[in-house]
Amino acid sequence: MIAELVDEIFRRWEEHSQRPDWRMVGLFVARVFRGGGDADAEGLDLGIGLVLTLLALPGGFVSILLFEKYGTLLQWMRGATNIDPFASAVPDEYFFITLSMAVTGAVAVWRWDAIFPDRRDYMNLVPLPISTRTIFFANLVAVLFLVGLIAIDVNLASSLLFPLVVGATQNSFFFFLRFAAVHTLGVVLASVFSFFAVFSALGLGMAVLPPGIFKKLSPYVRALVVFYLVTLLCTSFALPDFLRRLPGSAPTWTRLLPSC
Amino acid sequence: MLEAVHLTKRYASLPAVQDLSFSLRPGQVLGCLGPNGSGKSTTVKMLTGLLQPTQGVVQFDGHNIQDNLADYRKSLGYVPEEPNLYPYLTGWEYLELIGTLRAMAYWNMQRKIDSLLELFSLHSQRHASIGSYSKGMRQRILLIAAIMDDPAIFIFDEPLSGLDVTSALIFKNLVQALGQQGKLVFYCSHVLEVVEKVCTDVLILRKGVVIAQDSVANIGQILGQSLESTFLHLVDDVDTMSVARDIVTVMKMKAA
Repeated sequence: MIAELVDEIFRRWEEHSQRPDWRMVGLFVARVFRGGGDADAEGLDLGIGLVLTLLALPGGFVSILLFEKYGTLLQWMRGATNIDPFASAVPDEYFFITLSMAVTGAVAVWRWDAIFPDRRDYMNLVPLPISTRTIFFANLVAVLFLVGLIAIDVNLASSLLFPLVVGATQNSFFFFLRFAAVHTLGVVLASVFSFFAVFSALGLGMAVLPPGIFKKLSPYVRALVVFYLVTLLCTSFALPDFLRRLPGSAPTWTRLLPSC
Repeated sequence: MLEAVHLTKRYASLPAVQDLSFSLRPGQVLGCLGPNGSGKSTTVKMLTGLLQPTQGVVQFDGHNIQDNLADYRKSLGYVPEEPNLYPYLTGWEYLELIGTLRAMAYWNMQRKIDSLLELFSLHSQRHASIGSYSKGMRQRILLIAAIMDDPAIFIFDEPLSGLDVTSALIFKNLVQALGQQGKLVFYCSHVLEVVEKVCTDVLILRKGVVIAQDSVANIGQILGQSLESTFLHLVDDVDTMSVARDIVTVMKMKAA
């Protein structure tokens, strides 16, 4: 019974994977991880598994480090006995949002050349009996799949561990669920926003600028995006406290910061 | 039948090809010759549907290929000059990808890939990534990709670049065999000797204009010379020996 079911699933998967549109989605997904532009021919091929593991690590490590802040024994030793977990989690939540944006944005910048079809795809795919529309939609589906995959991967560890750490002082499981849901939503959306921000900058540049100028400007735009993301991440430890102490309404420059 | 009817292509008002007309019948192997910048690549791109002509049409069996490019490309096997393949795929994976995208039946595709890899001496390296292949091996992968779906039309753009002597000989015989099978073959090359050997007809381009079009035998007879001499006579009336001597003279110049 189970063997038949497995066979049936395997057969259906084989059928689907042999459909031209799905094969092309697979090709576009693979090129993001395993090389896209001409320069990638001799590039570093880390493999999908290793890349996903590396992306998932920062959120997990930071969550574990935060045990020190939220541990009940350490709080008791510090003399803090009545702590509002929501209020004390706000700066950390801001950090996780910036971390999520920085990691996802960095991936988008790193694979900048491989997100859209390039000359190699033109040479290989256009002479085949498939319409340009099919190529476009396959690329779109691949990009959406990647955004989902990266957003989940980058935030998976922190979505489980951080609510556990914060909720360690609480007796209610409902607290954990509520906190985890809101935290996961916040960081996943931050990831998605960050990826599409880079994606839009890339798409706009390609659409508006002549190819030669775009190629020359591309490294500068990428450097600017990386600089912004690193600045955001580096200031995330001090910024929430700084903002709390600001008198009156928030200044205009705070619009450059992520908020939720 | 594949027909080019008054094809003209201009890039920013500069003409690359002007009023090019020819027809390619089943069984005909048409060689396309011309010096650099004569419009060969532009012609190939228009024939494959990669470029739209500024004027004129390419017709296959009486239909404009631009009306249904996907259908036309199902009948087309194209080998470009540069083997710009996906370096992270293996030879087998690449051919499987192309076969799937050409909607070939799965088991037929597997069998053909296996046999063709064997015949092109690539079977032992079929699971190695294309990034580790030599240019000749990549070119052979492109050849397999072009022929494995048994298309009616073949367009070869400098297909011998990078091939070793044995593979080149196999390929030359293959082109002749394709012609005998009633396929339409358009063969673009700089190598006059190969065109003379494998093509039934020849088209000579200069500055985007057809300057000669006839069977290989007739073109030679017109001037009573070999195709090489005829080509040089028609395209560039240059004394190549004299130019070679001048180059050596300049090379040997000493500082005054």
